[in-house]
Amino acid sequence: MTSRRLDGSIGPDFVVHGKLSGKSDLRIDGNFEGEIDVDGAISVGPGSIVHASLRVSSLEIEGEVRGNVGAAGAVIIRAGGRLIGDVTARQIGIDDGGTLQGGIDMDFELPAEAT
Amino acid sequence: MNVRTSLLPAGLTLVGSIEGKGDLVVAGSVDGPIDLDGELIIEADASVRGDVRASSIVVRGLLAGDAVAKVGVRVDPSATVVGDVTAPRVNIVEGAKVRGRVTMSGQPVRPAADGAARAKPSRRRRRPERNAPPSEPASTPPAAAAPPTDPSKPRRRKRRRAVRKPPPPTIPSVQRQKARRKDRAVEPTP
Repeated sequence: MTSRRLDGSIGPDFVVHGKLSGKSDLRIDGNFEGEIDVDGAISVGPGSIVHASLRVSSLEIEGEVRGNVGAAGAVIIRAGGRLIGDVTARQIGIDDGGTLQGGIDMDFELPAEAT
Repeated sequence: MNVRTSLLPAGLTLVGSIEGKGDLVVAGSVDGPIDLDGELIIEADASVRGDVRASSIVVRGLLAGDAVAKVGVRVDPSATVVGDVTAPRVNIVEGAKVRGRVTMSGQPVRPAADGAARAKPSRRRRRPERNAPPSEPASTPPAAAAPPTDPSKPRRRKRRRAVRKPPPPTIPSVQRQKARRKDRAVEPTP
């Protein structure tokens, strides 16, 4: 995943409730509850807990995300990260130590032998 | 920007509330209340529709809601504020658009008994209380309580308690010494 400069940042002692929308990258280190519908790279930091359904460009999880995720690009769960919910993405990575509890839906064509 | 400063970037809109400890810069748009234990800066193209509460607030964009700060509020020329502003100190820079009630709630200049405004509490008023015991809670009402029902005396302010000194002890021999030193300008105490 490209390391773009993350413009936005929600600090570790912050609690945000509501619906976040727009176009920007964002790093979340605090707690978020609601919905995120953002055209950008979202990064959930190690201490962060996000209770939300997410529709993002790409997602990197080092903390905890509870909710369904839809990403246009990649969803990466780093070591220590947890995703509890279903994921729909173009690419998925779960590092050693990351946790996913949910389904993965990736749109690709099955090779003829597998059908 | 230090690690503790959060930023809601220009492209984002939040419909909801933000609360937390630390500084926050809003460059995007917030539709809801903000409650911070730190500094809030609303940038020039940002807009906040909702009541905001912080230690100190700087508005450079649009604020449609009340602002309450513990230390101070500054409204820069590019700002538009529609709502009440309450803080100990409020600085509105010329050019800003403000519509609402502005209340500066702290450390005012206390008017003395004769009506003239003085910066320090009047010494004249302390004399009648010179012989009162130093720790007399009844005479100094708490800041939130109503002042005593004595219309002749001006309203007491909390700050007076802090600057009240105990009356100097009256020692006759010292009085005489002082009198001698001042070339008997002061009458010695009998």
